[in-house]
Amino acid sequence: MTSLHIINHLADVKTCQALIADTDAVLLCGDAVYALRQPLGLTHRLYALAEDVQARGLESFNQAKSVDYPEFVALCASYTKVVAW
Amino acid sequence: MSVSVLLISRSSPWSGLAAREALDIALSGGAFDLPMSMLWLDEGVWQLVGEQQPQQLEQKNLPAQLSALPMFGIEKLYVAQHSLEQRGLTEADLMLEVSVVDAGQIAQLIEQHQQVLSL
Repeated sequence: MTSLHIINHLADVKTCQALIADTDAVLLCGDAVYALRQPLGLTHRLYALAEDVQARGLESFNQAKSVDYPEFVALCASYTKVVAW
Repeated sequence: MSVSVLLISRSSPWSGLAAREALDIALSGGAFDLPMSMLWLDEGVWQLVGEQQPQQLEQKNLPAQLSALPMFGIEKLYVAQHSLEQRGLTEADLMLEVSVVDAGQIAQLIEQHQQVLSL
């Protein structure tokens, strides 16, 4: 059973990294997208909310797959479980 | 069929409402016989230390209520080892009987439960 982990706060990116299964996916939104400035070294499938990335001027650093809100919703629906940190 | 829930409490006891809300969720789940587990992570581990005096802040006794969790059928209680270590705490500092779990075990807990709530 794979989960989608939604991370909204920058500090939580590091916290969660060690606690989630390799097969799970991570979606960054809010200030958590600042984590994209540095190489994340995440083996997880990684998504980022496009408007939060663009608003913070991080588009050129984006290592994640950008998603808009409709895609965000579709992603949530496609995983068996969604964990909002 | 009831849904298994892992409740992750990550907030310190007296800095806001989150710790109390986590307890309320746990107790409500217990009242409806939901298979609930609770994990204290990050600042949440401060909820478990002994000798707290909430009356000093005119607050309800959260630690006393936490120790009632097993009576409400919530017996699977876990605390994150790394969160304890980072704060200089050991199992001996805790007022509640909880299982100490490492990062790998937490990942398993998240995987095993059908719903995960973090607050």
